[in-house]
Amino acid sequence: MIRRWALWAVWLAVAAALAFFENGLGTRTLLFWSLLLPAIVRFRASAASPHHRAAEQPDTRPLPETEQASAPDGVRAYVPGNPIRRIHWKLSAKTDRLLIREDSPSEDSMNTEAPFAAVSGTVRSGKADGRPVWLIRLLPSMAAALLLLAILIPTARGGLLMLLNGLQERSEAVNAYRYTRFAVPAGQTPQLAGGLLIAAGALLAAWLFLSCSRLLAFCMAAGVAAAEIFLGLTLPLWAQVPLLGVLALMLLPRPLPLKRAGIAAAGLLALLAVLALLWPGVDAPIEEASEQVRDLFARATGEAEIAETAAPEELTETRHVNTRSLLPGEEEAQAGKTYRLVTVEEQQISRPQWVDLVRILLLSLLALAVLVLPFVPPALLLRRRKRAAAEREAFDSADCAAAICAMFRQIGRWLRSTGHDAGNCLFREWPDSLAGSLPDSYVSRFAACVPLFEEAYYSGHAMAEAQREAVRSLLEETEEMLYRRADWKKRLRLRYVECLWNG
Amino acid sequence: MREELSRVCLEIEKAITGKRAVIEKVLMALLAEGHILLDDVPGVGKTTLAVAVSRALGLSSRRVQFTPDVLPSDLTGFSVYDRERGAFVFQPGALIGVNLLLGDELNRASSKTQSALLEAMEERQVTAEGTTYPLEKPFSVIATQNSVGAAGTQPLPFAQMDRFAIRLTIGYPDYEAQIALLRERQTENPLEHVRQVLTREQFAALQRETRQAKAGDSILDYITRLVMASREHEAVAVGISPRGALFLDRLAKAHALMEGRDYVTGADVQAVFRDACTHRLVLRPESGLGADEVLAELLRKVANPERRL
Repeated sequence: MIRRWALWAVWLAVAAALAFFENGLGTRTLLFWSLLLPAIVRFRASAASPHHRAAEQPDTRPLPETEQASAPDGVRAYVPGNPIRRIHWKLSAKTDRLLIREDSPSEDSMNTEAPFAAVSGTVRSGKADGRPVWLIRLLPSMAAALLLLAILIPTARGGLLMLLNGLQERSEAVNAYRYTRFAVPAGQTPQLAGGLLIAAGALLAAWLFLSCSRLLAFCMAAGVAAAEIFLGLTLPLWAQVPLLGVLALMLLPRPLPLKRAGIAAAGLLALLAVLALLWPGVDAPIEEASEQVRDLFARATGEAEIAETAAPEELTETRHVNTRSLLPGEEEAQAGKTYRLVTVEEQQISRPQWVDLVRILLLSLLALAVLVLPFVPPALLLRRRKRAAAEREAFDSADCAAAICAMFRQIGRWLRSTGHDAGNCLFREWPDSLAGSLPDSYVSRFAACVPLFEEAYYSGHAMAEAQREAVRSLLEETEEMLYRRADWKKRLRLRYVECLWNG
Repeated sequence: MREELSRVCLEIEKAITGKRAVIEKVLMALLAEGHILLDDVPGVGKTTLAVAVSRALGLSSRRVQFTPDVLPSDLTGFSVYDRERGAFVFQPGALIGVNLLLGDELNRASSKTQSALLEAMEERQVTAEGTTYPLEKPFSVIATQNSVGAAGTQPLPFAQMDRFAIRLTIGYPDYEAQIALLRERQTENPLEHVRQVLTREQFAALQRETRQAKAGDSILDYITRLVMASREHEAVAVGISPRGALFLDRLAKAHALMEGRDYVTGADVQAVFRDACTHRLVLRPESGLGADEVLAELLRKVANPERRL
């Protein structure tokens, strides 16, 4: 989960950088892809083919007796709708039917695509909880037929080309692209083509909604984005916003994790707001001035060229007649000088100083952050390290009861930080929840030490040194065992964040 | 479990088969000097339980069958004119001189009789005709209330339910217990085999010991947080009263004592929380939650003292 969001964050950063240092294209790229990316990343799981393969032959029968006996614990038959990740491929290959690992609580949170898998599974088996399957299958072919008609019927084709020309015209108004127009026979009207296109679009939208497919929505969104980014075909705003809105809606995971979606939306909005604040935008007077200077420059160079081309014909005459005309070498020098002047002027006009200032500020902040960041974790660790050391001192305090309490606090923290959290449970209830995941010998030792802790914590009795040593050995065993069982990330965390061996 | 208390339990179990948990809770409430409300259908052994308890603990017991005709003076006592002496002689009521009073079908009594009894429960003394008589020590009431056949009854108001330390249901015996019960009663009444285990003084000493058990600050904090959370729960109209918190503390101490400890742990509080508090909650009907569910949720949500270690 973290990796996905990290990926998204990196992408956002790249897109933001693009948007910042490159004009035009980057903002749109950012807009599209930052919308689409979380959905894409989710796809890796839900659109992966194994699930579809599995769903094609749903097998809800329970395992036969013999196989059930031979299957190890924690495995059961696959039922459509179960998450793909849990399929036990090795055993499935052996037994020739799909088996699935039993739920374990830590994996439950991953089970986001289950409702979808259920939907797509039932679509394939033809039930689709009340949705007409035949309609879902028919809709795309109907849409394709309409599009084909729009191309085949001559009047419609003319209209289609007109519409395309119109789209290109609109795009040219927004983008820097220039298109060659299609040749349209005279007397064409776009009504028929437009009607066909709208009908096809409506059919596609109906298909999208009925099939509930995120893959489909993703493909459409990607198509729109590709047309925008690579072809420069910009749909008019009134069409683009609802289209992308609907597609984004379809792409959202269901059931929607409201909190996370809210955070993502807020983050995106904040990012866009920052961009909008920093974005210099188009300043009309400056653009106009720049345009004028450019014209001036063009005229100057144009005159020089004209003079040059005209020169051979009436060389002597013009020189004599036009006393103001210059020598060829001087003309070039003049043009170069004008060019330089114009460039300098244009640069000064088109780049207001404050944008530079903001950029310099941002860059220096970035550099500062890059310089400072490596030192932040150790600084934070140092505080934790000190705190941990102070707590470890308590283990040797003169008051045995306090020491036992401190050690049990540490044991609880250890177990919690390694995923053995028993929730709001008393320590005497912990052995029940630990029994599954930790060795029995440890659990029984833990259970034996709990009364010691309870006496130390609740009674106010003076505790004996032997009891302190018993709990200390439990603590040491806990630390050693959990450290041994942890993966490298946890080890790193346990070692440096929990500050175990702060020698 | 404390050796003498476990012997008491064994002794009582001769009369009531297969209800160990209920017996322990009754003992716990008695150790906490609280009163017990048994809320159950007729014929599950409420009276047998009370008599067996009084025998095993060496307490004197008396039984009052409440009807609408029972008057407050039947409980407190009244004076009659003695012609031989030529003076009024006080006839003590059912409450006086008894350790364990079994009030059967308390909800059939008129409200004035109910309040007389409940007042005596609270003050542990009765006043009749201007004279105040202290009640025996220890004094506890085991009142029963039938949930079926409620016609013509005066259900106990919540304010008065609050005075009982604990509300219990005995419940029907399971198959084996039912068979054993039938078998035992073929020839004789097992109630007569219940021997006295403790004397009244020993039991009073145990009660004192209960009072002196240590409930640390973390326990008091836990009880307070539980009680306050019950008042803030959205399904609850009236939460656990301060008296409820007091009884929770005392019952937790009794639970600790029964386990042979002289200090209260979080587990003690959790063990008695449900029995001590179900009858103290007034729920909002629209929430659709039962008292047990609310209490279980409180136990789940309120951080226990070890969690806040």
